[in-house]
Amino acid sequence: MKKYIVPLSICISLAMLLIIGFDLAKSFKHHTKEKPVVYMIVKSSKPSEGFEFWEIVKMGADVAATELDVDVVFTGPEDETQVEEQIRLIRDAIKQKPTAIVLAATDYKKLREVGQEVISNGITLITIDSQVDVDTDHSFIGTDNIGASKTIAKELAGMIDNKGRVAVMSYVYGTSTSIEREAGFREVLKEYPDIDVIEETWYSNGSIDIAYEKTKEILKKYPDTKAIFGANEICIVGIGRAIEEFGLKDEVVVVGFDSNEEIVSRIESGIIDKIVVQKPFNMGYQGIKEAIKIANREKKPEIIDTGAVLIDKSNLYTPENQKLLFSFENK
Amino acid sequence: MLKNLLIKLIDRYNLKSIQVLITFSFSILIFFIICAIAFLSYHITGTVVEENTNEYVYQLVKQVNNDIDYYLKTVETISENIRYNNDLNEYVRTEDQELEKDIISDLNTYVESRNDIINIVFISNKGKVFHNNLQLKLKDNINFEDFEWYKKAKNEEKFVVSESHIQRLFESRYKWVVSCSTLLKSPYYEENLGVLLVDINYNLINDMVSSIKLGQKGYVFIVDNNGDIVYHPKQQLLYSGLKSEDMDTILNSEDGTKTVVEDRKKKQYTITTSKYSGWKVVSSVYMEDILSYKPNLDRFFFIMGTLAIFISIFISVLISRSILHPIKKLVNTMHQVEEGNLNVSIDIKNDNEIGELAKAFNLMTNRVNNLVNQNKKIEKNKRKNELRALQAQINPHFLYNTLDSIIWMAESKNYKAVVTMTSALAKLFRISISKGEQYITVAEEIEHVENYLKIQKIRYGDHLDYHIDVEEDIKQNKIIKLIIQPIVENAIYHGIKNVPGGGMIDISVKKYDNKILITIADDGVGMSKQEINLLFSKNQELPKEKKLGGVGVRNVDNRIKLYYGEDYGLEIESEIYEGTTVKAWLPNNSIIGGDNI
Repeated sequence: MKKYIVPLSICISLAMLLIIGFDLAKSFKHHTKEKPVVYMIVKSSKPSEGFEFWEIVKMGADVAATELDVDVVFTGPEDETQVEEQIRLIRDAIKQKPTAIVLAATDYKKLREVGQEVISNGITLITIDSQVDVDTDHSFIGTDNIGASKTIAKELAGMIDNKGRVAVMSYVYGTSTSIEREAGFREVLKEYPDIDVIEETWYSNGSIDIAYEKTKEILKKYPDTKAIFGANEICIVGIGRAIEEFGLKDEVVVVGFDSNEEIVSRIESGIIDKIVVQKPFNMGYQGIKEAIKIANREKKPEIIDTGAVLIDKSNLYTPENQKLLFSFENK
Repeated sequence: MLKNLLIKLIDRYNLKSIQVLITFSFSILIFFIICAIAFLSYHITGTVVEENTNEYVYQLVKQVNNDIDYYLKTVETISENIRYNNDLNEYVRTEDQELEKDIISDLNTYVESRNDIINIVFISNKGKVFHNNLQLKLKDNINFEDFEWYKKAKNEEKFVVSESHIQRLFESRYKWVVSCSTLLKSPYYEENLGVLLVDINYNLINDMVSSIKLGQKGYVFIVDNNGDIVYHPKQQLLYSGLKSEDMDTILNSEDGTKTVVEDRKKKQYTITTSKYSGWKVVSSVYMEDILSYKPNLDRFFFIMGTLAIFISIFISVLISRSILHPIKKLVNTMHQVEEGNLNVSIDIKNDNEIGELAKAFNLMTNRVNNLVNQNKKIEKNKRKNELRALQAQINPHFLYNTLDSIIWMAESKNYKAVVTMTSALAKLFRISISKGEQYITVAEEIEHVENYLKIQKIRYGDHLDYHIDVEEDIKQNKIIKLIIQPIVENAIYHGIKNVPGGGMIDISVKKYDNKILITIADDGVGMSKQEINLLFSKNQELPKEKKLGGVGVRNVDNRIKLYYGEDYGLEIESEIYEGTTVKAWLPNNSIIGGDNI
């Protein structure tokens, strides 16, 4: 048996070597396959009372993160007027070299430079909700704002019998969504000869109080205003509060974008008449999914319309709309 | 190019040898067996993992269903308790306003005691509404008939559970709830008290279900018996059409596991139905999550497989070696034998076929060796005997006597006899030597002995008579030479010479079956048995025997036996004073064999 010891030991050591080598290769391979990190930088990350749009975006992002096994870092400035703060956050994110950055731009133009920086650093850029003015092709996931604002404008025309004065309140000057919504709205109403849309646009600048004050200003300046368009959640809430205070629910038609519990309550009481509800959950969910797909070069960049729903008193409580209007997380 | 390389390789490492063949085929065989086993066990473990997972998921989902049932039952118990509430019964009968406060506080007690109940509302049969929380304001102009939970409870007259929805009875309060409603019947008198609504916090179900993790992506959801979603972690996606559940499959399936395909990925529904609420708790598990256990198995089987292959190669080498090592030894030894070395033996002690082969080989070489040695010895003896026979021919005594006779005859001027004798002597010697040939014809042999007898006849005159009789058809057969003459010589010197009246020698050569029988008979003094035995005894060197002239006779016998074998030889029959008959047995072969040296 003695003479077999040498070949036996050679065989065994060879086998061991092979196994160890395979293991090393495998662990090395495993090591390199880390979880992808995606930064989601939105317009406002601080949960303010009644303003839940971005929270729902985050919920959607979290669902996608578990599904795809991705780490999502969710940040954003305190409110949507803080453009410089958002730029700083994007620069910080670039330093972390994430797989992708999903951005909801506070300003279409001012974020151009930093947007280009993201792309030049080899990071996949995806925009959700609001566009940014970068040259490179990238995916956008959000509401077709022009289309949605056109729809609501047509609805509004019907509600005021195609005549009367209409005021427009937007949120932050320069944001792509704000520009688009206003443009779509105004374009449709131009077609109606008897409808007079006030040239001036009022801005809430991300504050319910300002929206409320501006509404009062409108009503004082143009007492015969038949309808007010609020371009986002904050605008609508402010407008609603003012209309309720003035007791003008039957005189002034309020339409606009987005919802929250307060808005729903005002729809029920007839103060707010019709709103376009976006699908923030889908923006968050699809934003992350798209980011990973583009980063993996599985598809080409494209514009994805997440869709929007018209809500009024009659369809508030359909099962679908309930889910859209009320978040599950009971506070 | 490659072929050349292969051929080179085969030459170099003797790849055609059986060892390589055995090693190679064994390795392949073992490799395939291991592969088959690995594949089977991999498959089986995979199935077992899958089955276990399915079973685990089923139990889990069933547990969730049981929890929910148990929970809903406790809510039904509350309804039942309220049915027996005295204040309520009293109020419905009397409409005593003083009882209102008590009723509200009673209802509130239930809500306070349990944080999972959001609110309890009672709508009396007369339309009076009680709700536990006075801080909440009921909306104006509520038409209860608009609400499913109200209609159902009234129409079906039993405990009903709604799907999850927003409770919108109160101003500025929108909570996700599951509504449990029932038509209360008075236990005391024949009348319906009204409809009771108990709203359960939706978060409770959410917490019960959302905490369940099934792999990376798996989740649990609940549908009611109409296929409406009670709870789904991705409800938003469902309504947006980004995701869908196969409701037909879920509603039409028995409890258990169903495999469906979603986005080209397999997933499994595990469905359990509650008998109590009719709700179906369904888990959705992705196959790739279940199968993620398999990579670990992969590795295990890979390691085992690799080890097994190496061991198999080692074992094959071992086996082929143990078989072939002795064979190689055998081959080497055979080569040695081929080169003429017969003094070899293989040292193989294996107790198998190879061992037997080696044993047989050893035996064979040994035997061959012996035969060769024996042959050498025989040849040596032949030469020795032949030499002796020849020596006997030129016996100086005989020559001296003969020459003396010739001189004597020449002096007496008997020239005719001189010529006869001299020519006979010459012929005698010529045939004796016969050009060195071993074999001569019977005729020559007879001529030889005749010449001898002629010489002796001249010497002995009437004292010696002879008669020769040879069968004609064997005259040309060849036999070894110098067989008859020594016997005749013996007969003359030891038989006839001592008889006063002389004697007669009768020689006959006959065919006898396959043999030739040469008989030399004399009527001389004869020999005793003892003398005959002495004649054939091998190790006698007695001078007395030599005197008897036995050397010649024994030499003849030895030679016959050396050339033709033990079956042939001399037989001597003798009677004292009667005579001696010597029979020489030889083979009757026209072709001469055996002279191979």
